[in-house]
Amino acid sequence: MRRCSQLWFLPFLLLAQVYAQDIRFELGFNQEIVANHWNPLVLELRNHPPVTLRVAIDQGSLKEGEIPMTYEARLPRSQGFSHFEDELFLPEWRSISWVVESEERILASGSFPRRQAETTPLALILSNNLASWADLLPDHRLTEALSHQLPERVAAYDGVEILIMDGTVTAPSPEAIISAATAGTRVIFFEPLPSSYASLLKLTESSSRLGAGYLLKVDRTSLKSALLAKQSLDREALLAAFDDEALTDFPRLTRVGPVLVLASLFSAAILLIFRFLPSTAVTTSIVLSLIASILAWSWLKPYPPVKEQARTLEIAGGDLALEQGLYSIITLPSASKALPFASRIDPLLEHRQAPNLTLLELSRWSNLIALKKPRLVQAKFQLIPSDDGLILRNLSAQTLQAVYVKGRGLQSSLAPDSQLFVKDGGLELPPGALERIAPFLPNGTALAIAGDTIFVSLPEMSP
Amino acid sequence: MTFLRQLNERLARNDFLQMSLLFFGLLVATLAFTWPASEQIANNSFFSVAQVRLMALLLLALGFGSFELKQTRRQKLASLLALLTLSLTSMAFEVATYAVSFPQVPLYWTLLLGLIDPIAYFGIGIVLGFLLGLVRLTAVLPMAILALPIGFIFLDIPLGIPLFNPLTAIGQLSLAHLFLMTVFATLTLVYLLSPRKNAKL
Repeated sequence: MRRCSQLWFLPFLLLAQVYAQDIRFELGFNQEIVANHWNPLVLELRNHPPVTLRVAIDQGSLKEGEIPMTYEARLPRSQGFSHFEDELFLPEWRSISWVVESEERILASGSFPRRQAETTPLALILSNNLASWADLLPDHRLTEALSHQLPERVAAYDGVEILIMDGTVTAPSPEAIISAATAGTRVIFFEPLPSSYASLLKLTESSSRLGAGYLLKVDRTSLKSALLAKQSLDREALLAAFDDEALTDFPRLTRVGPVLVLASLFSAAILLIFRFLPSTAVTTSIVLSLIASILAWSWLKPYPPVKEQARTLEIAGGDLALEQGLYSIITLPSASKALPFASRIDPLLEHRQAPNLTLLELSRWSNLIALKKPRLVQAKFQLIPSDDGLILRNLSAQTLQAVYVKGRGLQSSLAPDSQLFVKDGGLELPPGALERIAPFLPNGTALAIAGDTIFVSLPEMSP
Repeated sequence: MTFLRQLNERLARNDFLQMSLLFFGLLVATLAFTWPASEQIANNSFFSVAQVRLMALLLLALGFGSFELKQTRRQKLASLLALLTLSLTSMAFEVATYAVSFPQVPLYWTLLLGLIDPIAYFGIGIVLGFLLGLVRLTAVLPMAILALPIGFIFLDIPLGIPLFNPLTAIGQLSLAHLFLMTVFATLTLVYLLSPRKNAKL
C-alpha cells in the first residue's frame, strides 16, 4: 500500500509522455543549425489546447554578458494535427532553450548546447546513400533531408549552400526547390533521375538561374566540376556592402568651446544685472534667461531626433527574385519600436521576435540595422538573352535610374513596362550603392536603382 | 521700501552675489566636463547639469533658511524669492542641455522641481536652524546643511521610492516626491506670509 502511494505521480508522467510523443520540434535541418543565418523552425502537435512556443536565446558572450532574444508564437487549440513553420535568425549563441506550454503545464521543452553553434553552411542531400556523398563533399557539412519535410520558403534555405538530389528518394515539391534556388542555394540534379523528377527537371529548361541561386543538371562525368564550382553569390559580402547604405552617423553636435563661451557670458551678464541694475534686476534677469533658453533650444536641438530609412535589395535570376529589405534607425531619445516584420538585428541587442514582428527597446543615442527576413518575389528587373543581344526589362512601376551592366557599362534609364537592348556604354560605375555592391556580383550582371530599391539581375550561368 | 526693491537689494548683496558666482561657475564647469567631444558618444550633460543645479539650489535654500533665522519674515521671504530668481535665471542651462540630451523626463518636470524643492528646503532649513539653536549647536550648522540631503538620499534607499532625494526624483516623474515637496513648500510659504508677530521662529 505504501509502495502504491509513492506512485501517485504516474498518471502525470503518462500524460506528459502522451503530449511529448505528440510534439515534434525541429530547429534547422535535422537539428543541424547554421549560426548567423535564418534557420527553419517546425512545430507539430496533435490534439492540443492553446499553446505558446517560446524560444529563448542568449546571444551574448563572456565579454558582453547576457544579451537575450526571445521568440514567441501562439498556436490556437486544435483537435487534429497542427503544423507550424517559421524561420528564426540565430546568431552565434551561448544557449538556446525552447518550451511549448499551455496555460496549465509545460508540454515539451529542450535546449541546444553552445557547441552546436556552427557557422558553416549546410549541404542538403536528398538521397538514401548519404555516405557516398560524404566522400564526394569532404569539405562540406552534410545533412540528410526528407523530401516531404523540405520547407517552401526562401528564408529557410539561408544557411544552405548546396542541395543535391540523386533520385533515390521521393521527389520534393517544386515549390521547395524553387525556394532553395531563389535563396541562393546551388541545386544539383544528379542524373539519371526517375520520371517522378520530370516536373523538377522542367525548371532547368528555361533558365538555370533562379533568384540568387541556380539549378544544374549533372551526370557522373560533370559532377566533380559542378561540386567544385563557386558560381553562387557571396551573399554575406553582398549584404555587408548593402549594409553600408544604412544610417550610422549621429547628428553633428555643437562643439563644447562655443557652448562654454556663451554659458560664461550669460552667467556674467546675470551677475552684472544682479549687481548693477538694482531697480530692475529680477525682471531683467528673468527675461534675459527666457530669451537665452529659447535661443539655446533652437540653436542646439539636433533635428530630427529619430531618423529612419528603409531600403530594398532585389536579386533576380530568371522570373524570380530574392528580396532583402533593410531598415535602419538612429534614435537620440529612447524609443520602443514594433517592426512589422521578422528581422536580424545588428548590433546584437536584447529584443523579442514573433512571426512577422520584431519588438525593440532602443536606448538613448543608439542606432541599429534590421535586415528583414528574405522573401521570394516576382523579378521586376530582368536580364533576358535573345538572338539580337541582351534585353533589359523593367516590370516595376518606377523608372529605373543608373542602369548599369557590369562589363558593358552605363545604359539609359528605363521607364516602367519598357525594355532596351544592352549596348556598350561608359564603364565608370555611378557612385554610391551600386559602386559598393558591384564588386561582389559576376560579370554581366545588370544593376539599377529606383527610389529606395536596388535591382540586381544576374546573368545566365556560363557553361 | 517696496518689497520688489528689497528683493533687488537682496540680489545685489555681496553674500548672495558670491553664492551666485559660485553657482554659475559650478554650472559652467559641469558643462565643460560633461559635454561630449564626439557625436558618437551620447550627450549626457543634462543629467549632470540638472542634478548639480538642483543640488546647489537646495544647499543654498537650506543655508539661507537656517542662517537667516534671526531675520524678519519679510527678509526671509526676500531671500527665498532671490533664490527662486537664481533658479529661474539658471534654467537656460537646463533647457540647453535638455535640447541635446533627450532624457526620459519632460522638461517642465525638472523646471518645476527647481522651483518647488528650493521653497521646501528653505522651510526645512528654517526648522533645522531653529532646532540646532534650541540645543545651542548652531556651530555645526554648515555640517548639518551638508548632512541633511545626504541623510535624505539614504532615507530613500529603504523606502524604494524617490521621496526626499531630489537627485533620483529628477530622473523620473515621482508624484510622491512632488506631493511631499509641495506640502513642505506650502507650509514654508504659509509661515513666511502669515502676519504672526510673537512667534519664536
